[in-house]
Amino acid sequence: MSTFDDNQDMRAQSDELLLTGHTVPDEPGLVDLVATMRRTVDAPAPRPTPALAMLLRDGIATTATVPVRAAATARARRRLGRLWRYVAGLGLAGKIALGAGIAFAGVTGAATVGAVPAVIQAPARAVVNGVEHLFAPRSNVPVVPVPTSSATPGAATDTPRTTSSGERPAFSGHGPASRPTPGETSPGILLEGPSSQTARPGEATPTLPAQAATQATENADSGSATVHGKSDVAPSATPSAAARSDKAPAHP
Amino acid sequence: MHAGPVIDDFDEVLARARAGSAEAFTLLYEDLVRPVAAYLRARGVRDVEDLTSEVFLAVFTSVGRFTGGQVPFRSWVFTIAHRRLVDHWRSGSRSVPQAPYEPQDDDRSTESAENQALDVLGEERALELLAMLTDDQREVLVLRIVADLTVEQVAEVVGKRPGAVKALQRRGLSTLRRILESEAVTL
Repeated sequence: MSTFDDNQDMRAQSDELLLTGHTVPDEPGLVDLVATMRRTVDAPAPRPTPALAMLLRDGIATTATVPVRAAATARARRRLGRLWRYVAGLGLAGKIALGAGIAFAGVTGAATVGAVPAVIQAPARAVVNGVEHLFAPRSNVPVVPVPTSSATPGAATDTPRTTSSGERPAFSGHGPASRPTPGETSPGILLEGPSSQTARPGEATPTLPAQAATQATENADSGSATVHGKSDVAPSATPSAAARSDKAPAHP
Repeated sequence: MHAGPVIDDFDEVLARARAGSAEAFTLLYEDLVRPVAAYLRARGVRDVEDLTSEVFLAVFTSVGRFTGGQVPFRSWVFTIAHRRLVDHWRSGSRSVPQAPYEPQDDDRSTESAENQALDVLGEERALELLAMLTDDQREVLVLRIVADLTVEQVAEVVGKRPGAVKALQRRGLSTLRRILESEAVTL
């Protein structure tokens, strides 16, 4: 063992004595520093927070529910705050649409729920009856599938789903709300109405072969709204796009 | 051991704490609250009260998972305190404060005004000296001196090897020794 190792060992022993609060000769500064730091432990204990004080007073069994309730309340407040921030961040059109939706849902609910007093239910029902015809299907007009002739791939996949004599009113709508979910019978797409009577700029108005129209009518009567026979219905559609047509949402 | 009382029947107290006994919680709290608070204060935490309570809330709500005797329990509590301290700095995007200790922010009291002034000045100077070390050196020295942990316990707390802890404390003490010697020459 060299002199250097001896010095290292002695220094390590000296450090250990110093750190454990023993007096080490020739190092009064460090001894004072360590003593000062060790004295900080003798300072009065800080006050416990209310949550910890409750735990120390009641134990864990009775206090465990309090933080959970507080956390649930805090979560609910955060969600409400997020909702308000979302609504506040909407544009003017979004706020109008949201308000109209809420008003429509309120009126419809007041008209249909029997528990509502007649004073409220009667005018609400009158409003609903007033706008009901806008959504009702016209059964006297033959319903035919309208194939698309658009050359765009997205339009080529559109296959009309038709119904003519369904009891439920059919809505002519776009977007997720009008898409049938798997396992659910599609209510069909109403081809009548302003959107189907006027051709949009850039879109051709196709004419259907008689066979396709007949088959579509039969399918519609049997409850199936899908038109089979891709080559008859959508001549311009590619085979792969037509093969996907059963899953695609309808666009009039 | 200088840090507070030692619990005689620790195993029984720990068993009762696992069952949620308020009395056992109080015993464990009184045994360790002062060293934990001193550790947090020496590491530069201003709101020692809140963070100390957070540490013990974490200790008492997870004491059912702890197994061992009184010495490992002390290491375990300081491990939680160390992690809470790291989270505290991370959550506030704060680094270790390098500002000198502010005596007016300290509401602790001792038996006399004269002693109080001497102690505060001494602690202020000690914290200033510690602030000149690296974060790892300061952590190791505070855990060794204030928390009264061994090298092996400190290694567990900070997640380093005992050899690394020894090297850190040796370098930290050397730095402090050098500073004190230079000040003595200056004075």
